[in-house]
Amino acid sequence: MDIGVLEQHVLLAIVALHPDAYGVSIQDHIQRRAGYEPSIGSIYAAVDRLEEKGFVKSRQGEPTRERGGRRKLHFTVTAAGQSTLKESLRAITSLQRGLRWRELSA
Amino acid sequence: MSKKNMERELLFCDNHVLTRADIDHIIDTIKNSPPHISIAEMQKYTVSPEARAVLTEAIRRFEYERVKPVIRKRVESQINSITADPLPPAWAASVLTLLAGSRRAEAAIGDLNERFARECTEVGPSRARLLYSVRTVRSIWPLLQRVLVKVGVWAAIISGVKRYFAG
Repeated sequence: MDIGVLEQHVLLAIVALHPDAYGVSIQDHIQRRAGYEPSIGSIYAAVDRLEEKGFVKSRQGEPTRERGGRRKLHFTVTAAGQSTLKESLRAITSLQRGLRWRELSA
Repeated sequence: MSKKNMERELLFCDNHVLTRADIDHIIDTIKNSPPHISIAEMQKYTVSPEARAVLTEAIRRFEYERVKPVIRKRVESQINSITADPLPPAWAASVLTLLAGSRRAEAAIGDLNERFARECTEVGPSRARLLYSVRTVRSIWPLLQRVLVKVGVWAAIISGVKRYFAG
């Protein structure tokens, strides 16, 4: 397992948005759910890393007028990506157990 | 007509605005020009106060009889500038193409264009253009980091191979 926070968020967004996960929809999803807006560049950089690791696959869509004739790049999570994501979520859940917030803030 | 005369004519004509026929012509021009938009919708697209003022005045003062062809030309050119599709800043596409691979750059530019088209109707073209530029600038560093990492990896591989054959 080797994924950063943004990569984890991008993977979660791709899974949630399947089969319509592309730059803008991923950005909107993260903004809605996580409360911050990653730049398009950081999303593509994260997806690039994930694709290199074999966690994500991409396919080109059709060009549309509102996109200035540019094609969308649709993303899907591979089986390896899904198991890595599950593992990272399990690790977070496990790390959360036994946290004592009051003592930390005092 | 000389340039000076033309300017004088324009100034003169500005005081006399348009007839009903001209208003109909304006409305037809708007309706028939792509993208198809109504006057009400056009108000959203009109960001230039000058263009908006010309159109508002044209609608308000259609009872005026006097028409000058030069006004018609001027109004037409302004309407064309209003109804033409607003364009995002061109430099952004070059920067993204330079930093991302061709497929990713195309998709990233398309994403920015999609937001731009949405924001043009929400906040107007000039603000949408500003947001487009801000988004592009925010995208530079993460993409540049990727390029630097890739260059670093290749440099390490090449120096490793060189060392292997030298040793």
